[in-house]
Amino acid sequence: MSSTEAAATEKKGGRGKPKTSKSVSRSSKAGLQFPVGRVARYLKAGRYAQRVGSGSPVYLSAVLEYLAAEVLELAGNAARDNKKTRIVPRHIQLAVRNDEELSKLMGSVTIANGGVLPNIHQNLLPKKVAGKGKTEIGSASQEF
Amino acid sequence: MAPKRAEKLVVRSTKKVVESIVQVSVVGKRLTQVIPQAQKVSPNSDITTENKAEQENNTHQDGGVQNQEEEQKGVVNEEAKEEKNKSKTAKEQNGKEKKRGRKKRNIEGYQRYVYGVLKQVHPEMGISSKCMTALNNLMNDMFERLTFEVSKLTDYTGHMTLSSREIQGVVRLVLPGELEKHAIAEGVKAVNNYTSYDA
Repeated sequence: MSSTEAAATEKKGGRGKPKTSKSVSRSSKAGLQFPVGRVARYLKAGRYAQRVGSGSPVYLSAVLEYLAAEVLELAGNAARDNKKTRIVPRHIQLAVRNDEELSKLMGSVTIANGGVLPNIHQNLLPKKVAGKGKTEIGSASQEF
Repeated sequence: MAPKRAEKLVVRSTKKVVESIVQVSVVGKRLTQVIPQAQKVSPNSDITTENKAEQENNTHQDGGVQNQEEEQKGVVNEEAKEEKNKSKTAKEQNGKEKKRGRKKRNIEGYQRYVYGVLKQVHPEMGISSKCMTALNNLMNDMFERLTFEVSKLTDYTGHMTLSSREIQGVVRLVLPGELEKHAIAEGVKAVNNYTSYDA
């Protein structure tokens, strides 16, 4: 027991980490796809505060990644509904405008080549035809 | 009365003698420019009528041929030097153009990260370039919204440090409803993973 422990300590060398340790990105440490280091650089360069903590770029990258994943998931579903395998701006527009919260978040955003939602107001539709071809005449009173 | 001596009349006339030699040399089946080379002007030369013809004959017979041969050799040498210089300058210009062509545009964006997220969510889906531009602009817009609100928040509170707590407060301010709750959960999870990576 003691001999194996001594061998392990001899292999380890001195104090601290070994010098040949491979560098690991902060995005992989946090389990994210979005760049933590780049966001940290943007926060420092923008002078939003005098000092920037180590957790703030991680948190901000996670929020941005969540928003991107949300939009892409809905846009992919819209593309699949249209029997397409490639997302185009029309699919993003349909995804955003059909979702209540994303529509509120992106209310003042215009998507290029997005188009509009298919919508025809009820009063603009032709009136239903009755049995003898007469149109239905509504009552004189109106409900407000 | 002694007879008068016949005096020799010497007429001195000032004439300009202009010799212009035009050479045309063909090198490599290419006609070079016509070079008017020697324009020898001797102004106010005192030449007697007797010596003038002799000088002209001498220059045309003996020296003219030698001068022409020497000048032709000089022209050929100069043309060879010019061609070498042209080739050198052409090579240098080509090298510069190649270097200019290699220069890359240092434009950063979120394209590769958005594509990675897309492959996580829908592995079989693709995305068009216009769509990628729209999503890149969306990410930049959201980043600016959040950081603008962060700067105002740090001004209000008087804190100097931008920590994850400030980011969480800003997310609560900017994002609506359920989107805010899920975003906060994702952020907290990422920070916990980051802090507990080496521990």
